[in-house]
Amino acid sequence: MNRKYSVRKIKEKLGLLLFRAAIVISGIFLVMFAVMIILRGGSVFIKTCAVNEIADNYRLRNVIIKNGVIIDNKKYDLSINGKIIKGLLKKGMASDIEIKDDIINEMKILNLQADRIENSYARINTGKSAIDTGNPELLKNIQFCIIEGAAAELVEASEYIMSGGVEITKIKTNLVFTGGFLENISIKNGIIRKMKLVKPLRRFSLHFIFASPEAGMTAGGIFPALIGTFYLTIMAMLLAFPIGVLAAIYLNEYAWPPRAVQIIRTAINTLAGVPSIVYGLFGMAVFVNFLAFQVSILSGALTLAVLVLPIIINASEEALKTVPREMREASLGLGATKRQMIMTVVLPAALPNILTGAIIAVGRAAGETAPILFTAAAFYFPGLPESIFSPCMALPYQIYALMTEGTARVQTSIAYGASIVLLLLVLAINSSAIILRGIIRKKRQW
Amino acid sequence: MVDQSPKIEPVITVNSGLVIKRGENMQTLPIGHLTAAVHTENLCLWFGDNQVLHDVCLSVAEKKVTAMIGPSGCGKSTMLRCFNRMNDLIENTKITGSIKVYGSDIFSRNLDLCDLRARIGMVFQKPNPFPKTIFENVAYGLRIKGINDRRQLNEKVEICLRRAWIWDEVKDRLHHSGLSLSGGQQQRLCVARALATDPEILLLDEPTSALDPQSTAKIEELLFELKNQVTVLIVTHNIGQAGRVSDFTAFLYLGRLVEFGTTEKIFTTPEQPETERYLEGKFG
Ligand SMILES: Nc1ncnc2c1ncn2[C@@H]1O[C@H](COP(=O)(O)OP(=O)(O)OP(=O)(O)O)[C@@H](O)[C@H]1O
Ligand SMILES: [Mg+2]
Repeated sequence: MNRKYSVRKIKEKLGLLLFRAAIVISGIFLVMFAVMIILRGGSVFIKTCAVNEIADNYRLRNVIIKNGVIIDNKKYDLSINGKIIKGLLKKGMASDIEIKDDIINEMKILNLQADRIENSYARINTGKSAIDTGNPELLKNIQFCIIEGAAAELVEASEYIMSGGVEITKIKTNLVFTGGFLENISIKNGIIRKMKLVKPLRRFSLHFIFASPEAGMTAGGIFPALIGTFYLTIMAMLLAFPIGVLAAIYLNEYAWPPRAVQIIRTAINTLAGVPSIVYGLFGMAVFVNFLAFQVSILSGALTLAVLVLPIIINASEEALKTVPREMREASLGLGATKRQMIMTVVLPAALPNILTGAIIAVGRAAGETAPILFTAAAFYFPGLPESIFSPCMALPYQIYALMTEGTARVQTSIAYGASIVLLLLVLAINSSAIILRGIIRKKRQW
Repeated sequence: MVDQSPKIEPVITVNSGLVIKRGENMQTLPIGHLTAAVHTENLCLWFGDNQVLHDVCLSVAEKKVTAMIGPSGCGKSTMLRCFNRMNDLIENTKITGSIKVYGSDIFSRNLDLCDLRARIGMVFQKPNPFPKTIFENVAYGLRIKGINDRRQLNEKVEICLRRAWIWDEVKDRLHHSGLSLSGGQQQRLCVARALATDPEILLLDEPTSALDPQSTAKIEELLFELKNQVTVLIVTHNIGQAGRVSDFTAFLYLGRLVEFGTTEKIFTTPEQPETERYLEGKFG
């Protein structure tokens, strides 16, 4: 008796463990997905838009520059606004420092992390700026240690130069010190006496979402693609949702003759499993060529509608099946016609579940690349589409294009950024459906 | 003779609109020269291969209360559901024999089924309120008839809820979901819903099975009130209730109508030994 009980207990525990493991694994995948995509694409939402002064009046003593070279491994005193920090200057050597009127004009950095960087240099032009490194990648591992605190990694700095090269010219900088800039350095007798540390102000920016692509899709935003996908998805859903729901009602409620219905169901289930590229070919043959809609939003939306139709029909039919027979009996028993029963009892009761199916369909329609490849998508069409007969850019296709045809490294982050936007778009469309479903559920209270 | 298979149900249920009229060649009951509102002859019913009703010949007296008793699973609900053709919804149902309401065959091809069902109110064995508000539940029967006048609805809803003895409990939350009520409250809500369309025939399938004694008494009062206005057919497992409220009693056993007569006679001098045993509580 006791033993049996403990065996049962172990079984219970194992079961619980299994369920927990499943949810943890799902969670890990989702978190990995989110983190990865944000890490890779998040940078497109950050823009260096202004410079923030953080400190003035540094005094750097004991740094001796001989023949334009800061001598390595020197102790230094740094006072920031009166507070003195002592440290050691290491890992860096500046050469060819050109000083004019007490201002560093040009400085060459040598021998930083020896093997990686040799002749990179930072050009410092008063007023005008710009860090011009032969190859920004090489600056990755430099740690400028002249001033602690200003020294972060240059990785980020190099990212701006790449993604927002335009921006950097707007900043009045003398020297990019890894996320910080030094300004107004004055040097007397080989000793840096005064300088100002400014920090770039990085802000979240929706520029990426609301701007058109520029410079061969290596800069700018993705607005046309976003709008294109929005149009395609909404139009596809407007076409497929009513047709799908009505078809499901016929199949589930009227369904006559049974043999024909069986054949239709099988056909629908088969269609639901057909690879999307086949839909693309179908759309090209029928909508683009036969109906002569050309490569256009209309053709794409129709193709996507055909793609999601089986999903909506299946989901709606399942939803209709869950409405208990008792409910139908109650309605018919009061003298309702079949149509009245469907409209007043069955549909309202099934609607939340139908919407769940529609939500899945939205994700499908927004995210598919293959069906729009030949029917709607333009590789580069930076304006907004004028009518439903014009082609458009679309997010999934743009991601595909950036990753397969793009060469610049920055295009990877644009592609990931576009994925984030695509996710946000699907989320936005779904949220409205989910809210609607919530309202209906609340009203319904099973 | 009617042969039915499921889903062959015509796609459109309202057809040429043959409306059953009272008074046309109605049968009379063998007892007491009463007319029969519902009359079945040799009614047999199969669910698939399982024959549930065997040659049932039953007459339900007009404007009287008829109780149907019998052990669980003997086919009372099925029988009741035949009268408004609710069994049509169940797959693989086959019915033979005839059912006449006011003398007209309800399986007639061009019968207006909606009219029939609207005039035969039904309270199902399992409470089945709509996932709508309490108010809309009761108003449903009127709304589908096209009555949307707010005042008329308010009035009718209140009357019906009062008659079903649930008004006091729900009057402050008419706009809450009908599904938020307790089982017994749902049962009375369904009674109110059935009353709202002023049915001429009322089919009650154990309408008090989930009610406390006081509510039960109130529903029984309602039945007394309905007497002489409405034909009532009530299924009950409460023998006492059958004895109190009904004028006629039908005893069903294993899908056969074993005995039918005035309640008085059935309860005092039953002819069949099964009836006697059932009433004495020996089985069922
Ligand atoms: N939907 C159905 N499908 C198949 N068989 C059914 C169905 N409903 C009822 N039956 C069968 O019909 C028989 C009679 O059922 P019915 O519900 O009429 O009994 P009942 O007399 O109302 O019993 P109770 O007093 O328990 O309500 C039972 O044997 C049952 O198994
Ligand atoms: Mg029953």
